[in-house]
Amino acid sequence: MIITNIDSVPGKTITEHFGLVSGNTIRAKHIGRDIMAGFKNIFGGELKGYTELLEESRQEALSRMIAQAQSVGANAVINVRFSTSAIAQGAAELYAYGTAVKVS
Amino acid sequence: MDLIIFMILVGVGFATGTIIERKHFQSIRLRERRHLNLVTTSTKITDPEKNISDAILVSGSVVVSVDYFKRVLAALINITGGRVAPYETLLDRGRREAILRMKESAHAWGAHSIVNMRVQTSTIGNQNGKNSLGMVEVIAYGTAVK
Amino acid sequence: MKNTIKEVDESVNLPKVSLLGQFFTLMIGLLVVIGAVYFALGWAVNVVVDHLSHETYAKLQQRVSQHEFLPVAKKMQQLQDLLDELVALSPNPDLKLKFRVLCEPQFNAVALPDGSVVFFEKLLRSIHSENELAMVMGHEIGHYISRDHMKVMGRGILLVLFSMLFQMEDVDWVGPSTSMYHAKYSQHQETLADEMGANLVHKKYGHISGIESFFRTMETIDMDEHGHKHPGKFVSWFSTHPHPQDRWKHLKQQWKKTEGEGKETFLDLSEIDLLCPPKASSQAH
Repeated sequence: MIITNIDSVPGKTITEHFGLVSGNTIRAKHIGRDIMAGFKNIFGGELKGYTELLEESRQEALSRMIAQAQSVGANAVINVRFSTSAIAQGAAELYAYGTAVKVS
Repeated sequence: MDLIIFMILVGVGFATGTIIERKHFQSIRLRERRHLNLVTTSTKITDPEKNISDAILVSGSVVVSVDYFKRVLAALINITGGRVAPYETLLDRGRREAILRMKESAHAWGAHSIVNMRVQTSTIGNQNGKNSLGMVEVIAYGTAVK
Repeated sequence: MKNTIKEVDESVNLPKVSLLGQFFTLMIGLLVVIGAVYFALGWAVNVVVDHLSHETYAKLQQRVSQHEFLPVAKKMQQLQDLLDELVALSPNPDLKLKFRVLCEPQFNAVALPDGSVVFFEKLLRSIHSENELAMVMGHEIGHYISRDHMKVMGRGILLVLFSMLFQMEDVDWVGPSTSMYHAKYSQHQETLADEMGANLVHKKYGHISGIESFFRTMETIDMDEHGHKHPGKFVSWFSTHPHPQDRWKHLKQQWKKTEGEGKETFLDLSEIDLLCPPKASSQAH
């Protein structure tokens, strides 16, 4: 599965359009991480727990999007966009969407 | 006493929430099928075989909220961590509804496709702290062409 | 390039787990964890209180004693002397306890952290002999010596801290101090206190035969309360104490060897009528 965030797949031609596919996920870290992040806020620096959380979620959202693309028979998703939002405290929502296409 | 009120709220939330969600999904599926022919992509490429005479910005938005049961469940999951399943359906519903509303307005205008579609989500309501209400606004927008 | 219209697989973005099942699992899990933490902390309080040195404990005690828990309770000099006598016989003769009477129609006696041993009117009126009274006093002294009231207070404070943590609104903020009034000790603590009571009675009178009637009175009142007008009101007291018959049996067993029949010492309790006019108590009934 080829994923790009431009309108085409360089070096290949798009033969078929399938329309929009998307994947979303919402994850929360356990309360210990939340508390540690609270401490970290005092000193500054990278919040490893949350970086990890968002990274995991992004992968999850992507793989769900890919699963949708596979369900319609595509072999590439172009012009992929991510959007992140905080739904509740300590929980992050990741949404990935793009256009499923067939390339050759 | 407080516990009884809590139980009732959770029970009522679960019952009504489930019914409303099921109905909403039914209507979403029905309308999605109806508007299947309206090609929607996130790319800037338009169909070269079709003549384009006009273009317009279309958008659709929706604000949805979770029921009490799901809110409590989400709060519990927040302690243990992991996938917040109760909110996933909420956002899925919200997104599809927003995209559908966008499609409906494009359809009313007479479009044959929508290009460069974007989706944005934001939490509204009291966002700072524990009383986060799980209210979500989803807006979908794109360029309709005909 | 052509456009192919196909329905996407919607199940990808929807959860596959049962929300209700997840809810109950998490709820039960949370309750178990809270229960376990409370239990562990309660145990820790017991251990800490038990291992405090005499000086530290005395300081703690002093700080607590500054606050009078039941200011309405009345003094009774005659019984104060008996209490002092028993304290002098106890393993901790330096203890300073105050005898107080509370004019309430309840069959109860409590030891409060400020050092007062409070007898409720109904209990005092149903006492037949000095031996019985000494038994109850000894029981409360037993609680003092094993620092039970401080443990209960520690637990009360824990409970309030817990409530704060979970932001419960309806917290009884005076909780830890006023709950002493209905302090709940474990059955083990009660048994130890009973043994102390019997021990002191034996030291003073040379036998423990006089106290059996007290347990019998307690039993009848127990039955009365459950069978008649006010259920519930005394349930807390009796649910934490072992059955009166069992308590007596246990003591009898322990004192079998040294047991000698003895006479009960008469006790004049007419002073109560002055402290608690009978009218007031009959109104409360």
